[in-house]
Amino acid sequence: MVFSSIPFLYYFLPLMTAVYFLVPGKLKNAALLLGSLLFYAWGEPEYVFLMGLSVLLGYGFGLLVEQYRGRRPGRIFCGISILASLSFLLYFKYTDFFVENVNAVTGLSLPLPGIALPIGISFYTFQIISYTVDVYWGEKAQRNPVTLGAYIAMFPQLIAGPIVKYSHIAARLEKREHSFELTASGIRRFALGLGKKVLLANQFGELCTAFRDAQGKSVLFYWVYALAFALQIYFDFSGYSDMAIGLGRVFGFRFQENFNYPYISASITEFWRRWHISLGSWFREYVYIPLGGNRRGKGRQLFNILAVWMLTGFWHGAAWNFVLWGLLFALLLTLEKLWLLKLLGKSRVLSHIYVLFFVAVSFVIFNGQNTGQALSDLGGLFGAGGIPLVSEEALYQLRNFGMALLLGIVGATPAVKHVTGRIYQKKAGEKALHLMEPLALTALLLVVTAYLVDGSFNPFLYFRF
Amino acid sequence: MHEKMKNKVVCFLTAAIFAAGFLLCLFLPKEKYSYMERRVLAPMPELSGKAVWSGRFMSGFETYAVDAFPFRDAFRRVQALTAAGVFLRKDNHGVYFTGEGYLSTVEYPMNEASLAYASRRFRHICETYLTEENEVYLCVIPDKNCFLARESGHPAMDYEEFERQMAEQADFAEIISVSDLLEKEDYYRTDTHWRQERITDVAGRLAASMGTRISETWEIRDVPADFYGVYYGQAALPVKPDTLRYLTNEALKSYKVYDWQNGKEIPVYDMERAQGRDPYEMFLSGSLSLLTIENPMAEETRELVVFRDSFGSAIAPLLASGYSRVTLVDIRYIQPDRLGNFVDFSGCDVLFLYSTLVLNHSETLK
Repeated sequence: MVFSSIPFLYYFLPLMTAVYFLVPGKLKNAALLLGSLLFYAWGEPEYVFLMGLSVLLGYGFGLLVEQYRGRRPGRIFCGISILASLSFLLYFKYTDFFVENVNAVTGLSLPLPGIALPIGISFYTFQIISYTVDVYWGEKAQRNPVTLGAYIAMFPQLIAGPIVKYSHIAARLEKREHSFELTASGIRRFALGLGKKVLLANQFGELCTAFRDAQGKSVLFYWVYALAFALQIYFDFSGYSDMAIGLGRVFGFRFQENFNYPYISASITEFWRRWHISLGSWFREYVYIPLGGNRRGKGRQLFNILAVWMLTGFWHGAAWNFVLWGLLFALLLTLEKLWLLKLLGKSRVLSHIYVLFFVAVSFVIFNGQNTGQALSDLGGLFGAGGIPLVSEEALYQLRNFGMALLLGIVGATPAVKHVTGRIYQKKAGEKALHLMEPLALTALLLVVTAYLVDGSFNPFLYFRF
Repeated sequence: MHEKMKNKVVCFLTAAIFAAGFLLCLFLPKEKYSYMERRVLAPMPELSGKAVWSGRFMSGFETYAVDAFPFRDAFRRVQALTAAGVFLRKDNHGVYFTGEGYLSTVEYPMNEASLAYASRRFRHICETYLTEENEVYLCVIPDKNCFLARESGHPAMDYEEFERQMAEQADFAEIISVSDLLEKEDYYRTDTHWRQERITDVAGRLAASMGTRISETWEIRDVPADFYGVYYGQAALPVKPDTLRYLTNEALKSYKVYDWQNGKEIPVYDMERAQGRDPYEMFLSGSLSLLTIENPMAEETRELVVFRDSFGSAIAPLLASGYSRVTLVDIRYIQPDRLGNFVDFSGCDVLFLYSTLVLNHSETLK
């Protein structure tokens, strides 16, 4: 089930919240777990058992790791837990990729197993790993399997994150408070995320589809596509994160922020501190630092960066273009660590252009159906194949989606936040905004519903990861 | 309003919206058919263990939930108005609205492979059934984008090139060009089709090119109901309806129309359909694979076979005034290889009369 759908908004969510707020406090986690299992089973009935097994393994290994913490068996149990989680991920996500590559290298024709990817496996696997590793590092293991299940399977962040570390919400899993203030802020955040997804990301998705279907490609059209996809993936994923964070607040949790206006970054290093923050911090804490981080000399640090970014690329998808995408960032981050960062500091404008250029290019690689298409699209950005500079279709789509693109560009910056912040500072402005907010939220929900009823539906991009 | 009060209002208002939505979704009676979209709405899927396990129930329910959503038409209108008014979209799902009140779909670009396929299908018919005694004609009817798209800032095909390519590939037929006789006013504002009362000159040229003459005296009649064409429902915008008009005369009143698909006689203009789901189906009862029009008042015994799409329904009664018998074949609904059982092509004129909309998406031709 996806958040931006009628069944979720008008069937599941009202029922779920009603049940959640009606049951007594000690049953809230159970309600959350049951609701989350139903939410997951809606899209993947058969894989709900795989997730259940993953939760049980995480639970059992958590207890064993705690019991033997500081001793060799503790390390072994922690290792087995990580391997077990990763083996599920490897099997379901990467088997076809490995078979394809074995066939390509050896000339064999081994049949592809065609294993369907369980939705959200990349996210909940990382949460289970974070749990057992946190326990290994000293966090108290969860004794109640329902509570642990509620953490791992919690529907707001189950499918596309943010990747919530156990240590961040362990206390609230045991006891949390609900208030109008927290709930209202959750609703605001959820509605905003829903609007980002349905009103903006889906339109950029339409533009990308129009580009793919177009016969009259041109350099301009390739750049329009690059811009559209960069905006689509941002509003799609950050919209989902907003919805997850908002729902989390409605149910009494405070999840980590996942995006912080990444497109205003002045370096790639800064970009990755603002983009998919929970994934970046997961890799930093559970891969980069355990590998030695920057503590073992420059050479080792660069190797660690390379390893982390290859894994980051590979985490996003079982295809070489994702690896290529990760390697591009590894290269840029390495250059920045060595000397580029100092150079970028000299010109704010050039540094922004540099970031936007490479991010746009990277997402063109990222969105290729395969490496061939990714490289062909890259070529198209620079006029390869003798394509014209401008085409009628490109100009038309620019006019057609011009306002959406403009709103997207403005919305990707903190401009609106700054403006409303300034209005809030004045008494009259604050009153007006307080009055307008409920009306604006209602209007937003109704317009989003209208778009959903009309059938403007696109699955979330990050579901495929 | 204070912060605390605002938070409470936000909570209660949102709860009220979702609760009301939930209750209305559950208890409001469901429509089975959408007149605006001209389609059957998805029913509630069957609930069974097998359907749930396979995911069939869930995917069916998602479609049902959207189709059965309360006040669906009103929400679709809100979407269309938001797209046009807030996002300033030039088209919404491919449908666009011009300042002059015309609705149309973006038909772009020209699909050369589709033109080639259509030509191959026509050639196959000629080679299978026709001899040297048959005169074969081809007429390409430009869709209304030809007159609307460029001036309203939408991409448009090169219609001259379209006709040239069809002519080049259809060397088995004499080309009759009618583009110069048409203008946007000859089409309904809310529908794909042309207006019968404005195409007598087109019918006249076709007849003259085929060596015959059609009646010059026609009475114009209005259908006493608003006509909301196919684009009206797709666009979901508040647009004024059209008035459906038809032509008649004494000869036309004597026509005998036989529907071979359903084995019955039908009227030239079906007034029940004129007020039904798709009023344009009043012309020769809409999408039928094979029908004949007998004209007992014809001045000479001469027969015409028209391979056509829905544009043919309005013009065929006009052409029939110049022939004793007109056979209409729609190869979207009948295999051409079966035609020999039903149609005698001996000595007939044969006209391939197709709109650019069908030729550009000719995968529908059998």
